[in-house]
Amino acid sequence: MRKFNKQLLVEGNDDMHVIMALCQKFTVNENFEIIDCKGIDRLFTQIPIRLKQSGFETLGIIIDADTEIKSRWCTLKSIFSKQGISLPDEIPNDGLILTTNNVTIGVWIMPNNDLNGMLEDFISFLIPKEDELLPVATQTLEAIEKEKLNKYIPAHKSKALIHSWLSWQEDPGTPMGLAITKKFLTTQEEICKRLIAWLSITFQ
Amino acid sequence: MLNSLEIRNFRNLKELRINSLGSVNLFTGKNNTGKSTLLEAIALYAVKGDLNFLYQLLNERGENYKQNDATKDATEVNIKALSSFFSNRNIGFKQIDSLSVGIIENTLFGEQRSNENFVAIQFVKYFDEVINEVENDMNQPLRRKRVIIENEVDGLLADYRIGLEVRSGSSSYIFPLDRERPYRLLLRTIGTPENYQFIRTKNIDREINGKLWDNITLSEKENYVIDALRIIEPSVERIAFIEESPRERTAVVKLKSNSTVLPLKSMGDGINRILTIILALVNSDNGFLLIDEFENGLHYSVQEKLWKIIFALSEKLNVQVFATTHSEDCILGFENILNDKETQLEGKLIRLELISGYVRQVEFNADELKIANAENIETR
Repeated sequence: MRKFNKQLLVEGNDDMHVIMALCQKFTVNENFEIIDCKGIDRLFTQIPIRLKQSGFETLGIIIDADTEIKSRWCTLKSIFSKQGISLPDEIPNDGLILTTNNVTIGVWIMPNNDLNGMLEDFISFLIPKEDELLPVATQTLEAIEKEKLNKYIPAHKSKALIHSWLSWQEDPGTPMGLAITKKFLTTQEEICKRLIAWLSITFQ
Repeated sequence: MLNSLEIRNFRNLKELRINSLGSVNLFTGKNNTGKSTLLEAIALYAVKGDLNFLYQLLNERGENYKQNDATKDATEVNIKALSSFFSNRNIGFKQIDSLSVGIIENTLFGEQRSNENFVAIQFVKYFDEVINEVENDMNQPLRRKRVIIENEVDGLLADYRIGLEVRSGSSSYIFPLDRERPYRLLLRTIGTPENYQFIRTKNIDREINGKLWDNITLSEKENYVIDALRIIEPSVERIAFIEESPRERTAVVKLKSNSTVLPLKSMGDGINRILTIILALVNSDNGFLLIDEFENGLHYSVQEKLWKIIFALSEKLNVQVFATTHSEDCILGFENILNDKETQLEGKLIRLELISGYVRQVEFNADELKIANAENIETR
């Protein structure tokens, strides 16, 4: 099995397909392997081992900020410091890219390296401005939350929002990655371009 | 037991230090990174620098240059041959030029090569000092004294000879190089050799297998051999060695529900390689087992089962195992057994790499190997 010297670690399957769709849209050179780590914990434990691979060049990481971006960054800083790699105190707005000991490290924290949240929050930036379904979805969620009918936890609200919105599109049940390819979501937004810029420079 | 290893100036291993070794150690790495050389170095340590071993290695590599004229001084030819063991074929006479293999110890000066557990070999300029305290018949020199000639001018003035000094712990001896194959002169070992078996890449079977079988015949170790063969052929009942042609013994087996006695050679490379490995293992009690290219001749499904047997017997017979591999399946099988809760032994995977002309290592302990295998991360 061929192994790549440049690898991008993502938390889950959705993240992987979103990145793949964006790379296709922006014709980013896919000279790297995207690895679905099936969870943030498994992603973290893999980092030191992946750095030990023979001839390894670039490690990219995309993770969700979740409820505490500072805490996520702290964990990463500590993992890398054990490998002798020093991360800055805060993640730069355009994502981190640093090269040391012949290895390039890149980190992007969803949605935008600043806010708390997750992949779905990033996706919500890609919903077209003229869209009229988003306010309906928002109101619906508020209504069911008021009646305490929702089974999702508050932290997962954006997941509920996006997947609801997606289920009302031309092909109901289209997942996020495919929704980008099918142009239900726009890729003109600034945030998109910033993510692609980070990706391109990290893996150049 | 080598709990650590420092090798200096041995072929392409100019300076390799491994601070901790386990009971079972697996080495990987690209071609030419020194994996086989590492095994040779450990064997050299085990035999305490025995020249017979060195010349055997030379023969295998076609580097045992012969002297055409038996009456001439063979020094030049011997130097040329032996220099192939030193990094960059360096012919130096200072201590810093010596090749050595030894354990690393914590001393006042930090971590250094042990003063007891090591083997060092170097070219020396020396002269014989005759000590005649007691009259003997032959009037031969009873002691060879070494003179270290640092100054070229002194070198020209002194009447010296060139020899090969082998040191191990506090013992040492200088072998003169002016005669062809100096080891013929002396049946002498420096220090106490340790038990070891070295299975080379090309050894599907070994000539010594018959003797190794004799060593364990009628003991419980016979069962270990049969169990190993059953990995490939579950119906093996018994094995024996017969002399087919003079001085050539081959293995034959009897299978269950079949009265015919079959030559093991007819059953393929895999089972023969397993026989070679298991015979070596059960003969390396309290010593070392060296296996070059573990996966040779073995299907991936067999390798983990073989590791299981090796780990079990390594513990039972106190054998320290060093193996090399290129195979992903070998590493997978190794990790599965290493992390199995029944395994008590320590082990690790070490990858050798060439960086700026030096061989360096990247190590993976049991936990790291577990993650690597679970997440399909390349360790080779």
